[in-house]
Amino acid sequence: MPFSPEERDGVLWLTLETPGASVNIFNSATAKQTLELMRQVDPGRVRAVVIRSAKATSFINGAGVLLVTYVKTPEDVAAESLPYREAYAAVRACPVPTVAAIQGSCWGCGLELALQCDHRIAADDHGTQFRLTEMSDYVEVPLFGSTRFLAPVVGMRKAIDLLLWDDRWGARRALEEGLIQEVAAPAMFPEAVEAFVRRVVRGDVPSQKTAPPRLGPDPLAVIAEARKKVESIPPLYHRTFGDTLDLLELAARGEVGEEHARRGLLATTASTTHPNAKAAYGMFHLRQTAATLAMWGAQVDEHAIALGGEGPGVLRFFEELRKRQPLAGVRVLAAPPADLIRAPVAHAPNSPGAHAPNSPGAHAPNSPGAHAPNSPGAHAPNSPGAHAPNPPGAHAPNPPGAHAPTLTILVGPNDARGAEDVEVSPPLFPPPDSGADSLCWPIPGGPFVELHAARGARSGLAHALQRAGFQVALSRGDAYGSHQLLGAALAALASMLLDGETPHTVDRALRELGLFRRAPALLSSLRPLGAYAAVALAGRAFGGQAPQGLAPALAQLEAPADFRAGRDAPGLIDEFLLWLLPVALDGSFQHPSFVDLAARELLDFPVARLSLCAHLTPDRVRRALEGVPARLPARARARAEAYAGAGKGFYR
Amino acid sequence: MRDAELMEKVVRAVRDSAPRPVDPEPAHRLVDDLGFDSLRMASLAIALETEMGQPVLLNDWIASAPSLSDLTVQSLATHMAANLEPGS
Repeated sequence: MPFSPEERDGVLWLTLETPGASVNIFNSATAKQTLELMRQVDPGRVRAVVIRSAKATSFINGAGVLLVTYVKTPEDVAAESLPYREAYAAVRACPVPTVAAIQGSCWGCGLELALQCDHRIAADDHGTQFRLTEMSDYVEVPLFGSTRFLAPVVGMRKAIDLLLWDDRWGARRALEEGLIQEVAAPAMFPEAVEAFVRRVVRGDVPSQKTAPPRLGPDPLAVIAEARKKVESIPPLYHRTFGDTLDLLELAARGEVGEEHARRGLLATTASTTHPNAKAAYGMFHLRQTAATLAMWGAQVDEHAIALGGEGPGVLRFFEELRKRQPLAGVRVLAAPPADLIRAPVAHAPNSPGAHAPNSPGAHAPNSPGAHAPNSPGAHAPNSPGAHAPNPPGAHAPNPPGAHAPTLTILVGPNDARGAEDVEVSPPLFPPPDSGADSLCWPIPGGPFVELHAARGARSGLAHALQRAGFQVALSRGDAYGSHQLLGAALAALASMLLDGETPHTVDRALRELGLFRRAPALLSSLRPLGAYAAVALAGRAFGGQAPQGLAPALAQLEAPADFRAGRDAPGLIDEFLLWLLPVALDGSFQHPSFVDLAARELLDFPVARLSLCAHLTPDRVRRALEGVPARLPARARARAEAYAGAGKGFYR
Repeated sequence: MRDAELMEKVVRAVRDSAPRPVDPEPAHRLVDDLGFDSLRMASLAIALETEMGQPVLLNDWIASAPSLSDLTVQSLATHMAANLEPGS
């Protein structure tokens, strides 16, 4: 059974361990057992119930994607979700105080289960993360309580951040926002939970379930503000986001009973059975593929990793490495500069993130046997032009006072070969107080790490980073795949402007494609690499023949554009994708799933279109070539024609 | 590729990625009989990639089955056969 119940000193301890899985899944067996256990709680004997996990890295990660795949009709949704809804209601109605003791990922329905409890305590470690994944990962309206019970606990504004904008909280942030009542050091977590439960039993800790709601000032105005923001996001998502806000509004008006439940079920049905959600499940499988491959093949020979993703997340990573409990298998040898967080950062020449010519490992041949031979999916040798010289102005010396922040960490003792130094390049995406936040779209990327690994069969670092909540992609060659992808995207947009398109029309096209994060955010993501990074990387995407006016065009893209002022230009979407195709085919990433991961996290490629590589079928590329303008560089056109002609996609 | 050869590859991939030691047969249901879950499907995709020489995406196969119980070794082989390159 998923839960191991143990009654001790008047407390019922329910320890969850999903059999055969690396993380806990709240599947139907778990739901049925939960319901049964709650029915058996005897308040004459049991004074508190504690829900905890036997897996240190996962409280609960989700409800099981495979099952959701087979939900096809409204009747299916009602029937399949019934055991879950009954289980959650039973926890909420438990006659004695309930405690969620959270260590590891607390995602989606895991957070919703914790919300049914009276009390929440969490471990202050890397892996403990609160996140509602339904909207961002699956384009679904969550069903198990977050649209009713979250806002009264953390306020309407923060609830919307979690529900709609993929805000991710560590334990300390969760404490600050009132989501949990206590944090504890991971090494002492079991003891801290025992002490916390003793206080709960004594009645010393007020219930969060029965506390007066704290929706914050004017929650309806906050919802109205969110509705305005939703107008700007891609139309692909309007229905699901709008339905979620409707449910929040219903709850804010005091309707949390049957009518809320009925409309919630309708909204979840509409989203779960929509093609968006079906595509998003495909991206889930690709994430798992990338995670598995990363663990199998991460040997970091070039001593370099690039960090990308959400600014605050990456900075937390630095901070945690520097200040807090070390990751298992990774020991910090030298801290990054203390002012990394505040200072605008330019990268030193020849450092690993700067694409310095002649850097160690440059032009290294692809490792044999890492993946399937001769497949089109990023296994081919780098294409001609990939090592083209930098455009004028690239890699200019750092301005006085600039830092080249590196962090040396020691990998071990999990590694068979022993310790090894790894240098960490600056994170992509600027820190939150750098003034660039207003340019960023609200959904951040996930914490993402690109390991530059030459050949592989070692997993220590990748595994440690994954345990810390990072998604890991592997690359090789003389450039980071992350940088290539961002460079190609920016080159595409600049090329459109240079040919007379307006920023508004370009913005409109990206919105239609489904990107939350548009040109200003893409540019700001490269800012930590230095003032010249965008020009240098976009210049590389032109094959070293950067056009006149590239820098001013990129500068023009920095200002937020208004899609309403642009014209419909569906051909621009095709053109944008054709610019990305050479990176997917010939870039540094070692596998298409890594390209897809990076495209999702760095470019915000929409899960509603599954993934970049899956979307780029030979047929779609062939059709795109028919309408693409002459400005597409001949090299990119030839590569696309060859790919479409071969008729073999990235995935079988 | 002959059907028997393809089935051999699929069986090998299923065996290599199953959560417990198994001797897969065409009628075996991956979830109900062999204990596969959504995470284990990623291992299966990678094992199939090793066998087939190209990255494999299983979501179409998963979505095309009427129910979880219809995800059998045979249905996987049929799906892979339908996606084979001509002449391979």
